[in-house]
Amino acid sequence: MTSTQLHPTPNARAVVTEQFRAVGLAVRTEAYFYLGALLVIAILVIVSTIRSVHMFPASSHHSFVYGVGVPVPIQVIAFLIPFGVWRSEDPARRAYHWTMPVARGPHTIVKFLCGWAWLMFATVVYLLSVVLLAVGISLITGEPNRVATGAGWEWLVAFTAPTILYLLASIAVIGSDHAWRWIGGLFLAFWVLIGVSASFGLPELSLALRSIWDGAYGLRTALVGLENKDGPIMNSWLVAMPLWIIGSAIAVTIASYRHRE
Amino acid sequence: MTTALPTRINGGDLAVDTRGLTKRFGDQVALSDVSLQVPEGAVYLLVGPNGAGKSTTLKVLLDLVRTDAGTAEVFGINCRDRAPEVRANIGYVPERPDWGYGWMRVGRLLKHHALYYPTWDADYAARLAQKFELRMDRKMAVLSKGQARRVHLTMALAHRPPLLLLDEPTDGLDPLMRDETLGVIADHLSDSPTTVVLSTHHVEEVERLADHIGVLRNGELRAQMSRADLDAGLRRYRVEVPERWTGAPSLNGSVLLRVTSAREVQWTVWGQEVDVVQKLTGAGGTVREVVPLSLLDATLALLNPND
Amino acid sequence: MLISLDPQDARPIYVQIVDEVRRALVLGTLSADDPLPSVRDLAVKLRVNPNTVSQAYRDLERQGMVYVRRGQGTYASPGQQGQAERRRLADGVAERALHDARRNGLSVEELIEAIRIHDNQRSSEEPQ
Repeated sequence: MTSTQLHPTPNARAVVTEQFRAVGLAVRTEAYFYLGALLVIAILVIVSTIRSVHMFPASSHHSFVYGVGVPVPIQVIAFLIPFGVWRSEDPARRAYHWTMPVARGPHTIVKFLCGWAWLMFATVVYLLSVVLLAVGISLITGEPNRVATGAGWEWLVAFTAPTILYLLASIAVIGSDHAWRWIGGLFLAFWVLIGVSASFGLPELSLALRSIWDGAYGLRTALVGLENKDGPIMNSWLVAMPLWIIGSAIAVTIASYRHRE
Repeated sequence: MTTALPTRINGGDLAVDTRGLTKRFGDQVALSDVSLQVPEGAVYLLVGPNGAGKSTTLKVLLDLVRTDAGTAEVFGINCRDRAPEVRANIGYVPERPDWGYGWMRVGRLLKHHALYYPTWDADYAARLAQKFELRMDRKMAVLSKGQARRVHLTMALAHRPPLLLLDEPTDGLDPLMRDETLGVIADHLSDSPTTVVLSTHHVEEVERLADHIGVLRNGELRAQMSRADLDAGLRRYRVEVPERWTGAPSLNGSVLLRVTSAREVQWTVWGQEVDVVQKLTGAGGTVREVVPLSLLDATLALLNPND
Repeated sequence: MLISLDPQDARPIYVQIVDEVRRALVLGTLSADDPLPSVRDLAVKLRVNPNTVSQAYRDLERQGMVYVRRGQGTYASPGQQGQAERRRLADGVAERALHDARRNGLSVEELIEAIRIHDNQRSSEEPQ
């Protein structure tokens, strides 16, 4: 028994709100770079389109418009952002995060989800910029707006692809002290193994490994959909995408609940 | 008869109560059967050489380290099963200076910390910040060790936690700021009911604040007791002895430190003064002087591996 | 009144505080009904545990040297500047001197003798 007046743990909503703000602050530098990059790309596209319209008034100029299906800038950001979310808090040094008066597993997942929410916000900004750019270019060229012609599910890809990449990088960042070493090591080991197994007469192994990347349910399919000659197709993506999301979400959860000393 | 050093503190409610904490890192023993009792309201000084297990013991209370055996409770709450509740009642100043988000500015980190502790006293935090001369617009990562420590002290004190765990709180501070920090702690104790567990190498600095002491060596708790018991039980005896004196066998096991010359010895002995003097006299010595020890000297004696 | 602690003094701190207050009473730097510093102020000033100051104040109260006004603080009791306090103070000085003498193997007589001689020398050296 104790005569001491004990203090309460913090209100869960206050913690979530504060983590959202704090994570936003943590990735602010990345956000500025990202917005800068979007702006530079937009200016380049507009300038090139205007020049093209002047130089070749007779031909079509819509090739300058980038589609929604393969949002490369946002994917790069998605993979890098976990390093910002957990800046100066790799597991070996996660002392501060761990001394807070909250349960560590859920707290880690809250921080992870806050990073994801900011990523989705960045994705919306990206798509808005694409749409605005497409509208602007169709005004300059007088051609129809190409963005609207993409398949509906390709708009969803813009959200799911960065989510998968964010999950994958988060596994490494939350789960290990040396995230880059793990990522680099796995990447290298993967391709070396494929090369070695192919050249030492094990084509089955090589193929099996390759399918992790570009098989029917491979990572590439999960990210952008399996492409045939008419462009990406939806069916395999519809299976591969949730498969990768669920798998990596489980891995993130395990990493979050692991006790580290 | 030998008088063993006390390793249990009895009576009253305990703020910290650990039983048989044992922890190995690889083949290195960090803690070996550590049973710590910190009474509520105590300022408990945890002393010992580097690597004795002081920081590890504090980390067990925060569930930063999990032991191989033993249990730990803070205000009767299990430190592992109900860790968030335990941590809500602890203000912690860690030994390492890179605690907290390096990329955050000091002012923002204080605000962040405040949101996790519902009892945060913003006025008090502002007063502490002024006393510690905190620069609110600096990023944590660029602070010196001493500056970071002052931020950590503010973070630990401003929510007026029932338990303060201070791991080398004056480390890296200049003499002026050390003195200021001790004043801040004395002030804090005056108006907040707080139990303090303080680990330090600078025993002489906190001598006037501490009212309990625990001595760790090689992961073992050699002794723990109140200051009153320590003051009553430990003395340095200066004794004139005959030539080729063979010592006082009845005191074996109670002598912590022996300084010997041809005709005079100086022994630091654990036991009742009357009793010890009697035994020394009985063994043929003439007791010339009996002095109580400063906390630093007492610590050194308790840490001495002899006997 | 000035309360300060001697870092070399190995006696418990609360005893030292009690002695400092006694000294102030005898010297007259603390007169009857003067307030003592608050527990908090003294604890902060001396960098000591406030409990230690409280303990010293309780001890002083028990000895009748101070009294407590509820909610206001601790005050010096009247009539504490007399012979009894001087005696107690002298007791303390004598105890320390005796301790030193014993340590050096001197008898009480030798000590008293030495004090007399020393005092005579000093008063003859001092310019009038």
